[in-house]
Amino acid sequence: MEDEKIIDLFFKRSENAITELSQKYGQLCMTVSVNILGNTEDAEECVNDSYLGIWNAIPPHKPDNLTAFLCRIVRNLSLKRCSHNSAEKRKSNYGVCIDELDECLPSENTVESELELNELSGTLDNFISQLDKTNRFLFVRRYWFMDSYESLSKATGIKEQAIRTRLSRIRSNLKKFLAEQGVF
Amino acid sequence: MNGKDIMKAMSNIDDKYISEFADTSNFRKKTKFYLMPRFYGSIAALFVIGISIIFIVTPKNNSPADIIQQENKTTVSEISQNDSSSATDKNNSVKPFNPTYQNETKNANNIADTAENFNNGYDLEENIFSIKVYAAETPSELNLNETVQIKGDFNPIMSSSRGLGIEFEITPPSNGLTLQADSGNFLTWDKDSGAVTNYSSEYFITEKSNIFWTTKSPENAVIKILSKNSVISVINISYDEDTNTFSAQRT
Repeated sequence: MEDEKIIDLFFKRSENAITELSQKYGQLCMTVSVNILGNTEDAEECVNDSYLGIWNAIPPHKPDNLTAFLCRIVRNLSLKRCSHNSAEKRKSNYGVCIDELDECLPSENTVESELELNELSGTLDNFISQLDKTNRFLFVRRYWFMDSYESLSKATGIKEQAIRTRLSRIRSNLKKFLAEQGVF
Repeated sequence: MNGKDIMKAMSNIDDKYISEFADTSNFRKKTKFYLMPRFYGSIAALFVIGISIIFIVTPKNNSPADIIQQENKTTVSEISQNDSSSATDKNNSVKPFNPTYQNETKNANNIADTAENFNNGYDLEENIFSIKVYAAETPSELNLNETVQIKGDFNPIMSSSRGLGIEFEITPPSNGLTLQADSGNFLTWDKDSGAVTNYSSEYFITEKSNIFWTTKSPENAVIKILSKNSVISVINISYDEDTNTFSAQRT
C-alpha cells in the first residue's frame, strides 16, 4: 500500500493503518532497532512502541516522508532504550546516586545546546550532500542505521576491509570539514 | 563535542538521506559484466565451442594437404601398374587421367544392366569407359579415329611389363567382348596386391574390367574388339623405325 493511503488510514483512525505499516515497514524498523540494541526482544518492544508513537503522532502530524518519519521514531526510541540498558548495567551505588542527583540539576538540553545540535545537523547535511552515492550510502547506513560492516559489505558487494578504509577516509574528511566550518 | 554529539546530530539529518537508503536491496553496486571472471569464462567457452564446430563441420579430407596426398596415392597406383622399379621416376607423378571415373563407372553399369539384348548392335562407344595409351609419362585417352603418339623407348612409367601399355576399361554387353591382338599379349594387374597376370593375345571380357595390352618387340600390331565374332572396333599400332615411336589409332 502506498504511504499516502497508510497515512489516510491513520487519519481515519483505522487499526488497519498499523497492520499496513507493519507489513510494509516492519522489517526495516526491526533492522534499525536491532542494529542499535543488538537484542531482538528489546527491538520488538521498541518497534511496537514506535507504532504506538506514530499512532499518537498522526494526526495531527502529516509526514511528507513516512519512511523517514517512522525510522526516526524507531531510532530515537531505540537509542533511548540503549541508554537505559547501559545505565541498568552500571547500577552501582555511584551510578544510582548520580541518576538521583541529575534530577536536581537543569536538563542538559538547553536552548543553546539544541541550537548547536541543529547547527551540527545542518553541517552534516552539507557534508553528506558532497559525498558520492556509494560513500553517502556507507556513511548514512553506518552512522544513522548503524549497520555492521558485514551487512554493508553484503549490501554493496564491496569487501569489508575496503568499506572500513572508505569510512575511515570519510571520517577524516568529516573532521576536516567540521574544522573548516568552525564547529570545533 | 564528541562522538555522542555527532550521533545526536545525525538523528536530525535530512529525511531524504534516510528514505534514499532505507531499502538497501536497490543499492547493490553492480559490477560491470566485462570485469567479472564469468565473462572471460563465457568467452573461453564460446571459443572452444566455435573451434569444435569448425572441426566437426569441416570434412577431414578436404584440406589441401589431404587432397595432394590423395592425388599422390592415385598417381602411385597408376605408376605401380606401369612400373614397380623406379621410385624416383614415380615422384615425377603421372596425374590421374580421368577424374570422373566413379560417375562414369556408374553410367557404364547402368548401360550394362540394359544391354541384355545387345549383340552385334552393341555400341562400344557408350560402354567403353576409356582406352588409355601410356604414351611416355602421361597416359592419353585413345578416342575414336584419333591417333596418339607413343614413345618407342621403354619407360618404366609406361608399363610394369616391358613394352607398351594400353589399358582397356570396358563394360561389356551381356554376351561379353573379345579382345584379340595379332601380336603382344594381354595382362591384368591387381591394384591391391600389385600382382600382374599375363594372358595370351586373346582375352574374353564378361564384366567390367581393366585389361592391359603390352608388347615387348617394336612391331606393328592390330588389336580387335569383337562382339559375337563381329569386329566392333580396331586399334592399329604402328611402329616408326626412324623416330622409334609408336602411334595408336582406334577405328
